[in-house]
Amino acid sequence: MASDEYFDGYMEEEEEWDREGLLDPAWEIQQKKTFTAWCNSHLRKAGTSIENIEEDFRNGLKLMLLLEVISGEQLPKPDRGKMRFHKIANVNKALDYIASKGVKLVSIGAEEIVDGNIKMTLGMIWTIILRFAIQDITVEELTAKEGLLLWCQRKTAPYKNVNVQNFHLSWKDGLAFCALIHRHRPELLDYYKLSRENPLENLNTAFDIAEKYLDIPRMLDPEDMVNSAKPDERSVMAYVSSYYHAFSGAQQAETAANRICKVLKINQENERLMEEYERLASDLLAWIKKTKPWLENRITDNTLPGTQHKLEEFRDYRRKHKPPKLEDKARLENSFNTLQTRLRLSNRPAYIPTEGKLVSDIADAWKGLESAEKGFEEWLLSELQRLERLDHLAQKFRHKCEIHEEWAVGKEEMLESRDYKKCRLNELKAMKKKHEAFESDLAAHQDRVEQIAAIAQELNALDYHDVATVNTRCQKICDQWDRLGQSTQKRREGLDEAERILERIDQLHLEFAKRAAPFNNWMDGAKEDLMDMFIVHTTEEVQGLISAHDTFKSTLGEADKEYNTIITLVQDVARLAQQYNMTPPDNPYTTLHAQDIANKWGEVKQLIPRRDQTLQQEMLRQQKNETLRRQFANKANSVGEWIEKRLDFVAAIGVHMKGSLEDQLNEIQHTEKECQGFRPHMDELERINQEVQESMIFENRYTQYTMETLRVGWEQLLTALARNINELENQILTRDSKGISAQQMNEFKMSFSHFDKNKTSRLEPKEFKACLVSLGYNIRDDKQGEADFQRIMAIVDPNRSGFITFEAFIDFMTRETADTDTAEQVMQSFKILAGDKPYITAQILRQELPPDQAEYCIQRMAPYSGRDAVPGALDYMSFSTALYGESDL
Amino acid sequence: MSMPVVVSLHRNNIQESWGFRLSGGRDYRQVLSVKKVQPQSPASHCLSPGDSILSIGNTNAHNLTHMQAHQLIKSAGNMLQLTVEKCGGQDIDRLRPKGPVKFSPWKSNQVLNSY
Repeated sequence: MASDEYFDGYMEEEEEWDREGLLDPAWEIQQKKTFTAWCNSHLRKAGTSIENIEEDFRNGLKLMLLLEVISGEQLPKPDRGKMRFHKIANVNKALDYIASKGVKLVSIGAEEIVDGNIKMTLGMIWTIILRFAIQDITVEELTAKEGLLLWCQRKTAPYKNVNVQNFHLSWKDGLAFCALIHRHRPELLDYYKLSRENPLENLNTAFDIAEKYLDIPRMLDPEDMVNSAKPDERSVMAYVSSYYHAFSGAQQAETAANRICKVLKINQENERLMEEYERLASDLLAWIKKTKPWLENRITDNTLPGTQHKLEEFRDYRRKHKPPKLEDKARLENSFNTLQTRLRLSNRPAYIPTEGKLVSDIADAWKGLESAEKGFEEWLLSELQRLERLDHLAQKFRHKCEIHEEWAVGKEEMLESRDYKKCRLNELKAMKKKHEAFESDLAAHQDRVEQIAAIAQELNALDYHDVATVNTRCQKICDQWDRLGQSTQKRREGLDEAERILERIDQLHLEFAKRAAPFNNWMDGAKEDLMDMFIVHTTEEVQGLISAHDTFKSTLGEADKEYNTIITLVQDVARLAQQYNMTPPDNPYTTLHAQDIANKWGEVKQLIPRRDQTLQQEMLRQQKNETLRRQFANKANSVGEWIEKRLDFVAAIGVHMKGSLEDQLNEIQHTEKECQGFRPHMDELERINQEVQESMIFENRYTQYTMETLRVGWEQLLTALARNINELENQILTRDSKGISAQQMNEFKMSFSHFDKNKTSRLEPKEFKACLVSLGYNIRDDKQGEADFQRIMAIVDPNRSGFITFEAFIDFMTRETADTDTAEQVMQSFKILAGDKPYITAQILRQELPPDQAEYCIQRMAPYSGRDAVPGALDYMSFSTALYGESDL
Repeated sequence: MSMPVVVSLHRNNIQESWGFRLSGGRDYRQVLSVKKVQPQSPASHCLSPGDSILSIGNTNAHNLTHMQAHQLIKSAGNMLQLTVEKCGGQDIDRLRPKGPVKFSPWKSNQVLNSY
């Protein structure tokens, strides 16, 4: 098709030649000058030249050389002989070569060239110019001549005083030449100072500049141009075509360099993103590795302060250390997605992180961290609760031990005494009664000792940290208790043995002893109750203790009466003694003295208001806790509802939102800003929660939220917002880089979300197929259709993950069939810079590309190893394919 | 997907290139495949763009990186035996809708019903 068009154009020129070319001798003179200069502009590359165009081509040798220089191809070896037939053979080789390029040489024969026929020679050179300098100019598929004309018109369009309509009269005033130069190299001349009135000056200016700066030799004579009525069209075309090659060559190289830069910049930026990803991933994984063992360690030092310290450490971890790492993780995932989008958009193979740093590895490590963290706080709190209870229990143990030990002082010595062997009968009687009293006292103490042992056992069972001391003390008490029992038995036997011999009693003392002992016991019990330790968590429990105490107080009247009775007995004895002038004898029936009872009674009465006060304080503390619970609950309920509402909003976005991507992005960013504004509420709640924990409040019935559930919800919200923003930004990136209209994007979205039934923002293969069909894809319902669909799947889901994300879907829908950034284009661009050679040098790269990109290439390009290699030749082909993860074999 | 076929490529000397472009590999998580084929080369008429390479000589290609596969093919002698899965051409453009796409859900009813 294209070659047909060429022939049309060529033949048209041919006719023109026959019609006009032979006629005008002035044109012949012009052509001779111009064509000679044109031939020399090429021959100089081979280090030679011609002087006389009709003479110097006669032996065919320079003609063949000219063709070799112009085409860059090798012609057959010329005949070296000087005979006419040698010359004819050489000219014929040249003509055959021209004919092999698809040009019909209708009226030109080798003999005429050898004979030096000027018209034929000029005709042949024109054919060569047309074929090798003009034919390649194709602008919008016009003929070569029209193409060159259109190029001139476009380039001179901005210059009002230039109007190129042909290749003769339009160029006479020289302004068109100047305009062409100024358009491409404005620094070379001051166009606006030129005037149509000075054609000779204009032409000279243009020709001088072209010769000096553009390396285009003078081919036209300014005087000829000005003086001839109509300048020779072919001469002007030959000269103008040199301008075209000079400028379009430069332009091509610039375009090629720009394209390479663009592609390399994408690669450099991608590599930077990959490095950043690797760095972030390493840091995050290292942190997780460091932190996880600490969370997995569920051992405390078994003391309350140690455990509280651990709770503070955990609070720091949860509030200060973990949140920034969570942000890092989100940033990591987002930059990974952005990178993959960029890679896809620029046709690069997907990025695979190094071993162990895949997104899934990060996610797994994070999951590991969270599962290690799970239950850590609960465990710590329950540990705290346990230790607190233990502490109270130990205190209770010590208290009971103290009472008991106080009681037990001297008992053993007393029981060991053999006093009844050398006393009087009445004293013995008293001793026996006293011993009976002691026995009942002992029995009364049995409960307390059992309680002590029970508490000690519980402390053992609950693993109290200082259990050794407890056990020693308990053992001591129990051993002593056993000895007391044995001693009591022994003494009783001794007394029984002596009873039959000794009897006398003191009624008054007996009465005192009878009353004093139980009363004393009762007081001991009361004292113990009044000093009893308690641990409660609600106001109701405190209220229970208060009413028990009130009940106790109501029995005080009775006790006071009893106390008075006992004291009266003693007073009676004293009065009697005083009455009969005698020293009051010791009461033989009891060790208790009136003073002991009085003291103890005084103590009991003092303990009552103290107990009142303790209970009131506890009541206040519980009420304060209750207020704190309500404060936390109110705040937590409002924060919780707020977060849930935003989470609902987040769940409804993705591909299911309406409006343009920017509108959606704005809406989500608005919510994100709202969240940033809401952060003080979270902080306040954290503060209240800390107060709650410090007050040892472990449950709260006014809210179903805990600090932990809210923190999780809050973080979920922030992460989901950031992820959605990133997804939308990637969609915008995709849309803009592919130039998809809002209308098209909307159709894609509608279709995708229609089939995304469970709103996971991804489709299963079946759904994807239906989606494609709904968008007009011609996938038939047969074997062929299934094979077609499998091919599409291989493109859309190369990793065979089994689902299609919205991004992959958009990418597929907008995949361009032509003019994408491919290895081929990069290679083509390098080829232009390399001047069509299969290799390139560092020097050219440094000359054509910015330093950054040039060094990037030089570092990565392998040496070129073809047969035509020169020293330092670099292989741009394998480099170009490697940019896209491909290689030629 | 069609049955795997074994193709044999021949060249006159080991300097001559096989005439096709390789893409993919384990390191790109993509199946090794033929990207393009040079006309009038040892590979023309044997391979076509889009073919997946299943094995190279006696080596299973499944776990090869791009560079390993490249070296293996490059260092083959004058004969190269490949097991490939033909894809029947990469041309999916004929399936594409003409002009701007329009979402028409009813078109896909048959697809969903046929499953």
